Amino acid sequence: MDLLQFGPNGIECPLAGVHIDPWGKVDRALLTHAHADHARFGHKHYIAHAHNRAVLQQRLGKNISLQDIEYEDTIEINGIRFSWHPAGHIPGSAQIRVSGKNQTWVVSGDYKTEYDDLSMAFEPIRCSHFITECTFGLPIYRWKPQAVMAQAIAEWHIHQVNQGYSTLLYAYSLGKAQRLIQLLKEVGPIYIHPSIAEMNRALNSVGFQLPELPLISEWRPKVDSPALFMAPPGASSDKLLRRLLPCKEASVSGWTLVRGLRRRQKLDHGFALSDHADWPGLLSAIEGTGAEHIYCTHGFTAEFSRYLSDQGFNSTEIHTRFFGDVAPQPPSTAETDESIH
Amino acid sequence: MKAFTELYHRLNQTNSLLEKQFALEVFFRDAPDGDAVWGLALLSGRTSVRLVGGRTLRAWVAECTDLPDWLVEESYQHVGDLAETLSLLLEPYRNASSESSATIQDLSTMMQDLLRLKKRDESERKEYILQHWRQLDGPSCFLFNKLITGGFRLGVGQSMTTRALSNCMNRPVSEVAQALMGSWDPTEYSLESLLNRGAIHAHTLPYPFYLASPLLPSPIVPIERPIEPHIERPIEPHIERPIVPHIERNIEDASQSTAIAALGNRTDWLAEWKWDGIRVQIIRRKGVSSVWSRGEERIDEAFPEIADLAQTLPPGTVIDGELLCGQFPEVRSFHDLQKRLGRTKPSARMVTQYPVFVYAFDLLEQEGEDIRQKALSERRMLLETLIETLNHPLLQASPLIQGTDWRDLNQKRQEARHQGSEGLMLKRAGSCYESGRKRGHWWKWKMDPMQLDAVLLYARPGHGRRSSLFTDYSMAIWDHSRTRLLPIAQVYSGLTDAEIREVDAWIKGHTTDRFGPVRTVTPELVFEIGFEGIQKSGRHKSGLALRFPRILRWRRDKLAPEADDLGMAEKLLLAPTKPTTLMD
Repeated sequence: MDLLQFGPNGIECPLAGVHIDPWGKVDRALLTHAHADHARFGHKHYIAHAHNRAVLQQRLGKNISLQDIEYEDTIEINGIRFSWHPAGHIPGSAQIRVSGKNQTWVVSGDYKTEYDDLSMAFEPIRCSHFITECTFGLPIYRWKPQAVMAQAIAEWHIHQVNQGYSTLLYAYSLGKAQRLIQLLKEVGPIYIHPSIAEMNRALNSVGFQLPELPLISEWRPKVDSPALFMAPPGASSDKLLRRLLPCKEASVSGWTLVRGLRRRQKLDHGFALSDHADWPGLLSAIEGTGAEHIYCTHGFTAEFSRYLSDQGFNSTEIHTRFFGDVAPQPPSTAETDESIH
Repeated sequence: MKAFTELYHRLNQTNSLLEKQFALEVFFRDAPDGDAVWGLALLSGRTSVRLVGGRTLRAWVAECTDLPDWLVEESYQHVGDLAETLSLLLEPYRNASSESSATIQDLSTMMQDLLRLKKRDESERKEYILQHWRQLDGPSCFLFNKLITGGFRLGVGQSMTTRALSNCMNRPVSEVAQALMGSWDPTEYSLESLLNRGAIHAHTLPYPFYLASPLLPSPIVPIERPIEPHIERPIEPHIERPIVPHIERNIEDASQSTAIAALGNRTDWLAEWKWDGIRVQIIRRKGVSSVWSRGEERIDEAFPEIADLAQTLPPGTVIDGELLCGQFPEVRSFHDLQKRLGRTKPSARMVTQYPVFVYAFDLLEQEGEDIRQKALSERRMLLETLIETLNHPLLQASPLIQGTDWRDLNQKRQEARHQGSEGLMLKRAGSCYESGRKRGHWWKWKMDPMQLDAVLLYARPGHGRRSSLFTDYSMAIWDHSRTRLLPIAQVYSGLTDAEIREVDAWIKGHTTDRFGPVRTVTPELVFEIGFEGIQKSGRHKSGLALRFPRILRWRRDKLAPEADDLGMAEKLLLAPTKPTTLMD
């Protein structure tokens, strides 16, 4: 019997009676991270890495039953051992290792292989069965090092300021925003959207040290000099942002690597900086686990799984509710952004 | 190459017309002279070298990157642009060798290399291409791929290029426009000599065409309807609708009446039929005649009878008009005219089977004098006199439509199809002949399109801005027995961005089959498709082909069984197109 199975509520371990990132309501939910499509409302009990506490309480309610766990710590249920390991996706994100009955499984959650100076760095965990995301599972997706992207953003921002424009970066409020704040600390001043400020406070309460930054509402048009604004993609039609105009807008997302997707956003620019693994990242992660059985969830599942099969892996495409069907929803400033997953 | 790559990417990064023009000016000023001329040729679509087919290029990239062919194909489907896909996939291949990267040529050398290689065998082409794939950086590689696939296109209009050149070369716009007309070989010119060419070849060159603007942004504004659930709704019996349902509706339409009101007095305007042929200038100067299409191509050879007609014009004459298939006063479809297009030296049989004539509507030059600044009403009188004197069967004056007021004209517009025309042209009687698309004096007021309700059957992803979104749809109607759906048209959306996303998500959830990029979906969604013409054709299973089909709106209120059928479509086919007396 497979230790982990794909049931109607998501990934489950029947022997232990727990689910991992389930979408149906369950008794015990083990979470990889706090993004909304992985950490859903309504479970009876949650177990997640301690860094997620403040964010989860804020999103799912103060009174949820939530158990903290540290990286490398193990809990045992019905003889099955569960442990959390850094996934490098966002602060507090984890891969969950499940072992017992002579099997070792790893659920990757979302991950990236490049260290972002903020989230604990991804580390490959040896296992026989690896459930991997493949949001960017096509060989066209290859990221440049984040230092290169940070410099590109900084140069673009400075260029705009010299022309008299402020800039507005769209970045998801949990993860991408904090990463950018760290990367762009020499550039500034940075004004942030309240939802980003809220996430900063939540992360600082569990031990992160993000700087105190002014809110975009504090910036006075025609009085203050051009600045860098940061807001989540869903906020692009906020009144709050409209008063910042005219400014130059850019999205910070892996999808902007493709010109067509970038142009569709009708923004001035796009920077391909992602919190997901790129093609070489996915392949090296799989290599690192030594697993023979690979399960591909959310993203280019069909394509990626077929490629792995070609390479001799025992690979299966899994449909989950982490990301809909096959091709990614195109990025839209008003809708889905890859970084919430 | 560097200056041109920079230009390409700057043009791509901005939506501002001013910034685009500025980028062009920088390019023309700073690029080496040869590159500027080649850049100009590429910008205006004059040069295109398709060195290798897309399939072969994808195979080579698969080989260079050690990726399976199907994955290269999937990547292409996702990106939606071949040159870009290749350049993204080649990222790890770049600098893979130790060859010097200092050999990046200038654009003119590269273009001449490409032209030369076109005549060489494939192994030589491959060697050249692979070498460049290794050496060029990302942006240049992308551009290089655009050049070798012949898919080079930039969203820059001729008039913007012309303005930019005129600004940085300090020459009048009209002179630059004339110099760029027609075909010229970039190997033979410097920027300076190209601009001087205007004077040397002036006597064979047409004037820049004055183009009319659409009176209304789109003929039919999508109507928002409440979303009704698709389930548990009884299927109503199919109700036949009248063939032309909008005669009275549109004059009431707010945007339409506003547009008409803005025109002012009916008496200030001349109205003509809008012909669906090719716009031509017929020129006779210094004993030489030439016939030019709006695409700035000489078409004397394709239409020898029009070339003969040109010979009979008095010296120093330029006529503007529309070339149509048919024997006056009969006007045949554009489809028929197409049989003659692209055919140099047509056979005698073609000429008899597909006769052509010209409906002239303007006179630009008379007795060697440029009369474009005279009022249209005056030019029109001179034109009519000229046509009368010539009395040539292939040269007819495009009739003026009388019609006492706008309402009356609107009625006439709806009858346009019966004349073999697409609608009306409204031209201010006092207007001079401008160059390019200038709003204000010449308007095209198209007839409302014919329409059918059709069912979405297949979908495939679009390209460019729409890559990875399902936006290209095959639409079908029912057969006579209303049991089978028959494809009738391919449409490239026409929906709003929000609708596109919604339909895209729907398609992904309702796929029943996949053939490569093409998805078969459950036949449920009904769209109202509009088109300008319909005729028999073997291209689609329905045996019919539509002209300019597009989606007018999403019929959320209709179920697939309520879509139109072949009988309905055939009625449109039979709608009278017989010529009536054209002169009022």
